[in-house]
Amino acid sequence: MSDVIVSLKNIGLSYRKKRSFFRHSFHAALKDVSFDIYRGETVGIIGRNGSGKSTLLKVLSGIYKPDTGVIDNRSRKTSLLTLQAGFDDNLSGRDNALLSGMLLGYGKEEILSNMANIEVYSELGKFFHEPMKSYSTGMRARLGFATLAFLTPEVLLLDEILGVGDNKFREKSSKTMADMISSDNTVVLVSHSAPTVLGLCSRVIWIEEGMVRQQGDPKEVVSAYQAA
Amino acid sequence: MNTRQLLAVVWEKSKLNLKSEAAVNYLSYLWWIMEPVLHMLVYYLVFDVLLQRGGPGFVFFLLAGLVPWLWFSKLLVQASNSLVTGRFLMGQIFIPKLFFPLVVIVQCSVKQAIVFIVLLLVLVIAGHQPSIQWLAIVPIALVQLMLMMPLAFIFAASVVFVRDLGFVIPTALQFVFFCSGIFFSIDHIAPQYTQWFYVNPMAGLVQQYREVLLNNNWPDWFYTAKVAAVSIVLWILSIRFYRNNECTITRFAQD
Repeated sequence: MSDVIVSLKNIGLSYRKKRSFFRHSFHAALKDVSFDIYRGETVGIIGRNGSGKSTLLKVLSGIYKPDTGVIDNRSRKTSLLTLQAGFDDNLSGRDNALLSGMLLGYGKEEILSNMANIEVYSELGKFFHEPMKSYSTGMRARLGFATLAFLTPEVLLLDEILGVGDNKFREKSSKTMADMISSDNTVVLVSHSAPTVLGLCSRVIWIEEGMVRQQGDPKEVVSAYQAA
Repeated sequence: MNTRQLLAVVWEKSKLNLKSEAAVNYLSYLWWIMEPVLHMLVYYLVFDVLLQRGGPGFVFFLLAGLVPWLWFSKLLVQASNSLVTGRFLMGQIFIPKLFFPLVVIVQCSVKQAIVFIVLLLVLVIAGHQPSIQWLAIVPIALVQLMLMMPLAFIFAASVVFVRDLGFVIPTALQFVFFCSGIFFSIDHIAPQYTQWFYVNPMAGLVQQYREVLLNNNWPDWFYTAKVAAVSIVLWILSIRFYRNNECTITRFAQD
């Protein structure tokens, strides 16, 4: 487990706020964050609202480039699990699944070869070929999840564990999610829930005010976090 | 995402956008033909039947300039807002930012190909003799496309950094419209300004379209090549800007 796949060194990132013409104020979301992620492990990231967790995920997925510090990512693909990215209401479930997958960087053939699986998994029946505007919220969520269930990046970034749809689908999707996490994939999981982090992660990083407050054994870090 | 993947997803998204656009109308794809036909009909009614302006054939003079112009202005206005419109998607997943203006470019241009065909049919129906020179509108249109692409990239990026430009661009295009000789012939310009007139590449290209379609002459290849050369330089600069500022564009778009 000594194989570093992503390494962050002194990452800092500030958001710019417009005050008036030519005047801005800055808010530092990340001040100085350094840690390594090893191949195949599941890392939990905990911290309060506004501590910089989501910004950190955006830096890891390459959406934002840090203002300071260096990120060294050796994976072929690191992406944030984003349900329904780029969905269009006037298109069918099938077209949306294809588009969403391609936007996430997967090849058309790869998605098409999984299309039958996506259709079955989503349990949408004939609605799979209907425009998405006829879908209920739950159906949309199911399609979004089904699209991603068959496309796993080398490093998977999760913002909270997602259980979507009605009870039955929630069970199934949570199980798929748990399978993704426990497989050989490298997973970074941001969560508020102590049981989730304790149950799934082999290492936990606690972020506070844009800095790493503590990292290491899940039990130790989570109990320190809860005590604080 | 490499260039091939980017182009594949741009193509797929443009295709599906056109499909989704067509899906909301009863006549769906028929509008691709109906819209330009109706548009041209309005110009015919107003200028030829009602006002009887500009002498015989004025309406065709007008259309030969207006059709390429509308492609130019519609594409640029839409493209200039494309990055701002795409801000949610670019904040969710990493995607090369060229994706957003490129989709607009492909979408507008596919529809434009049909508008050009309608224009040619209208000219034939009106009694213009098709000639071998008409083929030259393919390279002229390609040069126009080459010119519009970097402009679309530059406009889209500038609106991200200074939102106010979203209001300035349509007005500026309106000004360029009046400077491109859509409604008047170049002969009506005071001679000391003619050379300045052609600094505006659209004025020059409109002139080429007319030479080819109305006078059955070959275009001024040298002028066309000059527009292409300038476009290539703008291409290289704008693409390099996008490559170096992927994340900056996302950050500013979220502001």
